[in-house]
Amino acid sequence: MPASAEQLEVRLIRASHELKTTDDDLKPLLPTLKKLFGYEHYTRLGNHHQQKFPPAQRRRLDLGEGFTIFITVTNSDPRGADVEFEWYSGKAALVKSNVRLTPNSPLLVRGPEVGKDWIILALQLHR
Amino acid sequence: MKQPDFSWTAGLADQQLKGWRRWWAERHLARNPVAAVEYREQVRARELLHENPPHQPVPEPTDVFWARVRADIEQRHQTTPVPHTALASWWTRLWTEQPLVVVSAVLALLIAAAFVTVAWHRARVTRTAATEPTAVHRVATTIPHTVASPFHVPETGATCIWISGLPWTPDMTEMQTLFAHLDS
Repeated sequence: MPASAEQLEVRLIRASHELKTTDDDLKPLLPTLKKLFGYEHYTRLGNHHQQKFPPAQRRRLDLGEGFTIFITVTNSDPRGADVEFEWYSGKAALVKSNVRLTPNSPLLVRGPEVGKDWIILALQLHR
Repeated sequence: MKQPDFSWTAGLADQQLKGWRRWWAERHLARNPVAAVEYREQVRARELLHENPPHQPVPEPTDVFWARVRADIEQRHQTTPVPHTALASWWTRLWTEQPLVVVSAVLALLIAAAFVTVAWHRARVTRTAATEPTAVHRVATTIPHTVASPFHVPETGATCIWISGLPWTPDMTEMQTLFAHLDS
């Protein structure tokens, strides 16, 4: 089945004990973030991207703070989308992965530890 | 004691005895009551046979026989009514008097059934998609001494890739400096 353009949301999240509150746009994810990482509050980091990704096109996104991500949607169907991504910090590839994203099931990648904070990559498929 | 032979009484009853044999038999009957009884039974048996001759029906030809069987079957078929239910009678009446109504109703039912089937199928796909978690097919790290572990959290519906072994840095500037020069 030929893949169609999929709308993906990609953002960096910083989990920190020094924060007093969580950003509004992260509040829907807050229960999940707390369950996984244990921090009370989270804030958005760098650039937030929500856009359509055409099939079989490798796209580079600047996430800010020295992070970049390469994303390719390889296939999609009514149930989800197959996505390849590579998450870089500078020249170093932190992780390379092939996943099948489904709606209502975000992918969270726990990245480097900075001070007492964690950097988290969040990928979500929107339909 | 030898049993007496009364077989001559059958000949007398059949009027087959002539002449002196007949004279002797009649004389014996008059003097022997047992023989007389036997004679009377013989005569009675012949009277019964005469009154009830054996019946010998004339066999009918084959074609006559099958024609009779066919006629019998046809008669039974005509006289046995096909049971009609009230619903069948109503349907037959409606079909003959209002055929367009029937056709329209059937078409409408088919279209409605098609819509319901499509809607149900779409809802099922949506439900399935909504409950299917994100899956990690392949994950790899290139930085030495690091490993990535995927897992799913059913309570939240989220999937996580946990990268372990990344170097710690005290702040974002140090982190960017480190990773800018870190080849993978």
